Amino acid sequence: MPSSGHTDYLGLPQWLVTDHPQMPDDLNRSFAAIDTYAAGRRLQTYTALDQLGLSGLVTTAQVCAAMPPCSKLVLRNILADANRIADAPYDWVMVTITRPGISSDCKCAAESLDGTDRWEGIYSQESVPAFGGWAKTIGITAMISNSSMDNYTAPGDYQCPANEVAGTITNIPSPSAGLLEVRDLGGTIFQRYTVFTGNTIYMRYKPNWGDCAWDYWRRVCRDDDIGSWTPYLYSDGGTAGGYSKQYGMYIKLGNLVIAWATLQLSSKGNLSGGVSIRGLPYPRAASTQGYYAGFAGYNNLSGVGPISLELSGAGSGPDSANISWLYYYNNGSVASVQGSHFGDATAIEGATWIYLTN
Amino acid sequence: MKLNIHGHVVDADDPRITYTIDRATQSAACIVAALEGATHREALANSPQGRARLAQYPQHAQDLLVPGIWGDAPTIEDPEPPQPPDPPEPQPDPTARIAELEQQVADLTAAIERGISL
Repeated sequence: MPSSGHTDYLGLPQWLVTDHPQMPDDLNRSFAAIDTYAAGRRLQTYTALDQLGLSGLVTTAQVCAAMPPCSKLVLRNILADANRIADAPYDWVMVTITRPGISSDCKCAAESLDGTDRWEGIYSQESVPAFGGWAKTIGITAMISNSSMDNYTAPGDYQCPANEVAGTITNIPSPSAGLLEVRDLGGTIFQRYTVFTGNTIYMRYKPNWGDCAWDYWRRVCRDDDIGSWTPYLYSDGGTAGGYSKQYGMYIKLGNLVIAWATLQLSSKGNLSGGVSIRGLPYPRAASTQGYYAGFAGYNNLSGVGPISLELSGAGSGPDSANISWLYYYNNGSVASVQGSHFGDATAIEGATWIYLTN
Repeated sequence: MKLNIHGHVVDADDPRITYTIDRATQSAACIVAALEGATHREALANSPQGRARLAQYPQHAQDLLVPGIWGDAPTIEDPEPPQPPDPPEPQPDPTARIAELEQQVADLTAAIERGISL
């Protein structure tokens, strides 16, 4: 016999939802969906663990399991329930656990006093374990002067606000302000430090076995540390008429640039006078002592000996050097490669530069 | 102007290329071109030749530097190109040199003969 009761939230006769034999299934499901929607708007709220029948120390999973469908638990640690959830984040001031429907899924959230730290977790009986743990989602702790990077081991994010502070922190990979991210994976601590200027990233870790010390910092190679460039020949008389090969690659490690290129002319064009290779990916640092920064093989380049590559540049600024002249030894002295040495099929192959940039 | 970006030769004004600048100062900058995750770069000086090279990039790439950072005029000069090697000094005529040596031999021979006769 159908019930004469009502659904919890809309006041609809309960038999419509559950046990009327003539009610089409589609309609029954529609009512159920409406009821669930309504449930989200009318959650039963609890403010203490004992209201859920819990006593003593409990885990987050136990709290979630005790939550009835369509309920919400809001705890503030200034009340008697402070510290009763054993695995809650250590400095939370408010925990909210929501079970929005009839399934077991609960969304858990915790916040710190100043609202800058927040943790979240999901509980679901369909998962193993049902509660995967609390994960810190936001919140940045300021790093302090004269501290050691070795001591930032608690998972979380830390900010070094200024270069002046960074300069006092020991074992920091760069004396520059930045963001430190710390993660703990089974006792192994991972640190990643991102410098604010230039987005230079360093990483290291401390294994959890034995008495292993911190590994040394390694700078992370970024996509743009490895790339391509397009070399081209330039002379005061004009440029080359065309190329059948024209490509270059580079690797940048810190301030060290290793670049290489191959060029082959399809037409000499207007090359005359001193010839340079241009298009280098990074300017040469003014402090670079290796003025002759590379060498090159060649083919169909008449009247010259082995080629060395001199890095020069426009002006005298610290970062304006981006031109590579071609030189060779001529009767014991160095002479520049001229456009007259080139032919229509000249190739410069495997030209390689190793130099410092700023 | 063609760019070879990781083996893909494309026109500099290919709309798929995204341009940014790096290490920009009043005297130099790097033009960074990104195409489908690959990076290409070129260092340019704010010199007459450097600005001429920049002018071969599409307008929206030039706008990243000019006039905001580089201003309306070059701030540095281009270097002087290296000079060609000095021409070799002229060598004496080998025939004349042989005649000169032959004359020296004849003179020495004559001097020896005079010494023997003494």
